[in-house]
Amino acid sequence: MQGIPNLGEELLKTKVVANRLRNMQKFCDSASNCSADLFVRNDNSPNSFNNYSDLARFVKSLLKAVEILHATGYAHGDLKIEVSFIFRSE
Amino acid sequence: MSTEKTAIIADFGTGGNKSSIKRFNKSAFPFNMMPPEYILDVNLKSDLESHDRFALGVMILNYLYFPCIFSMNGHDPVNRLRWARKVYQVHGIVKLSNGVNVNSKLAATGLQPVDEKKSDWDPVKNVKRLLKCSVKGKRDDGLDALFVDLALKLMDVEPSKRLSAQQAGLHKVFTNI
Repeated sequence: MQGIPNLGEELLKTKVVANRLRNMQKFCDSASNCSADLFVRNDNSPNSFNNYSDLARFVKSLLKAVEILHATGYAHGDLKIEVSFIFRSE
Repeated sequence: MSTEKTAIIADFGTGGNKSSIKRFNKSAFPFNMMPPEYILDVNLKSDLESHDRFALGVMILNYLYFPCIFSMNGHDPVNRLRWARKVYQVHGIVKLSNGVNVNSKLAATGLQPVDEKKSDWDPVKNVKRLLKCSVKGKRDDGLDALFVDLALKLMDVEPSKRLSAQQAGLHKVFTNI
């Protein structure tokens, strides 16, 4: 399928990311607390959405990721803020 | 300096064929993203893809109003029913396309009926009313309304009517901001 990344490679990448984040989650009491730490919305936080256009860009990126996943015939089955992570480009 | 934010999704443990019709283990599943048709037996066909679509809608509401989230946490069966009621209430929908009356189903559980949508229905006010805390800070009502519209279309109570991720990417929220 043209333009669709290799799912296996993508899953390997996400596994690495998930392992790194699991270490962070050791400091959390529960998944909901973790999400609170990861998605603090204020101007000083590197992961914050400072404005609506920031949020729109992130949501569009999230939708694109799921669109690609669904186009390959797979579904995630457990999407929630705790499994989606924000990365800033350099 | 402008920065691009990119989403990466992890934890595919419950993933599978998008067309699979999966009856989740309700005691183990984190039902804060569980579509209501899995909880209240309303006899509507649902699959993993429509489940993802629903979850995306809830996620958008959570990002929009964070830390006042829309989700409900916990595995208590009563909380699970309350969550299903909350989803029908956010839409103000009582009667489903297959004739099932949500309030009749809720009555059997002892929960309050859902208020049906009226002509003066304001989706943003209704969503805010159902959040876990009151939203503080300066908001743009027009932009909130666009995000809420997208979220609710992804969270449609009829699984077959939920926007696909591709359709959602073309929503007017992305051209108006």
